[in-house]
Amino acid sequence: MKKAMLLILFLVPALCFAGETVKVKVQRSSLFEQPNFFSKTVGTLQFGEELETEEVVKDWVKVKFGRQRGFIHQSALTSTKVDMKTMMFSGSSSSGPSQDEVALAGKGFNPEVEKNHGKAHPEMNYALVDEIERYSVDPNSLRSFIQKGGLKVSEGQK
Amino acid sequence: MKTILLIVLVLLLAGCATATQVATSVGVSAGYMTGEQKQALDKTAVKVEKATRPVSETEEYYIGRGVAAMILTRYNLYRNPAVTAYMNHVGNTVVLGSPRPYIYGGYHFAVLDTDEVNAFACPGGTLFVTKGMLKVVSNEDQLAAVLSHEVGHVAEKHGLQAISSARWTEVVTTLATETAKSYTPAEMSSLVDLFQGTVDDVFRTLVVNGYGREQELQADGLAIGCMKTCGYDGRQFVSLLDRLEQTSKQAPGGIFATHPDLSERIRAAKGPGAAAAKPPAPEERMMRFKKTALSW
Repeated sequence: MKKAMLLILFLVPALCFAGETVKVKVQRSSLFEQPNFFSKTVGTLQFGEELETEEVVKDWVKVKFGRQRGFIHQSALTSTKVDMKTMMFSGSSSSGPSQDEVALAGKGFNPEVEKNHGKAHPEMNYALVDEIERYSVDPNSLRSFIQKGGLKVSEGQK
Repeated sequence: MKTILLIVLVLLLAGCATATQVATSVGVSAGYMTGEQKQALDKTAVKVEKATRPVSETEEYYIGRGVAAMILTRYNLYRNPAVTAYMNHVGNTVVLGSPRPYIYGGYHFAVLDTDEVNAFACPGGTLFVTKGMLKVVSNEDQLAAVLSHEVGHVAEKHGLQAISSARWTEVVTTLATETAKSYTPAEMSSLVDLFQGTVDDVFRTLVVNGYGREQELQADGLAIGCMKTCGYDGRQFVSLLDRLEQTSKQAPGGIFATHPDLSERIRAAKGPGAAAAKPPAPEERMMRFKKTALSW
């Protein structure tokens, strides 16, 4: 009985993504050939882009994006089922990427609010935050760092 | 009648607008309420549902940028390219072993130029470690322990839990009522004030009051799991806590003011699920730590 419950617990999240339309909820994410952070990149996905899911492999989702197929980590995705609900109650158009994430990218706490916040509070140095965010680690450099340090990469938690 | 009202009330409190609309329709059909009453209840249901929605990924990002900017009003940024590169390599390694490796703007690691022993995880993924904390860690695995713990706070959205529910309700209600594409000066002023209040809520918890006991223990558990996934020696997490406890006796304040009960955390980290013994770290890992540590 316990095993059956565990199986259901593991299967339900996986099934939530299989065979549905999902959206990218991060600024950008690579589309990988294999379900692995250091697999060959077959494309780059941007915030709000819609993908068709085909298969779930541990923490990775195989998706179709136009003519491309590849894997994206589940933490970079959101289900559009939630979006439809949000749109229905917010009265926004059903065309385009108008789920709450996307809507809030244009409204709510956004660059415009941050700009005005910076003007009202000149002591807040957003330029320094930009400087911190500009630093990015090259994936090849990170892979080498991990390998040389005798470390390993997660293959998923489910 | 009482039953219908009770159902509507329960659904309203649950923030379930669709179900409330169904229930009110039944109420009107059965003659228990007027069309106007139905309309008012439906509107309230939508308002309640909106007001109870969680903070979105993009909102988390902008709130986190505000918190980071506020932290940088109190501390100076330590600019050393070698240290920044090393921190971001260790940090991004542990991120890959975390339950939430992808967040809207990605994770970024920076050092604060102060001898105070501390570390801060801003929502949205900007993580700060002080030079004082770097002086406490004695190897890369212990640095990974500090960063894993902070990544754990982000993964579990602990910073966002500091936002007062009354303020968040006001934020969501304000956003829900504004339909124009751009804001009037008054609307923008109101949003800026709410944004400042939200940032203040998170800042106070991160810098002044500290997280709750449960949140710290949860971040510790995630950190040990994350270290294990990445191949770091989880026992170094306990060694780090031991070193912090020793340091707290010599230099109180900073993290010791906001994380008072280190002994309980040490007991928990040594308890069930404690990390198993591992062979010593490879030479390369030890050497790159020693080389970079010369700069801090």
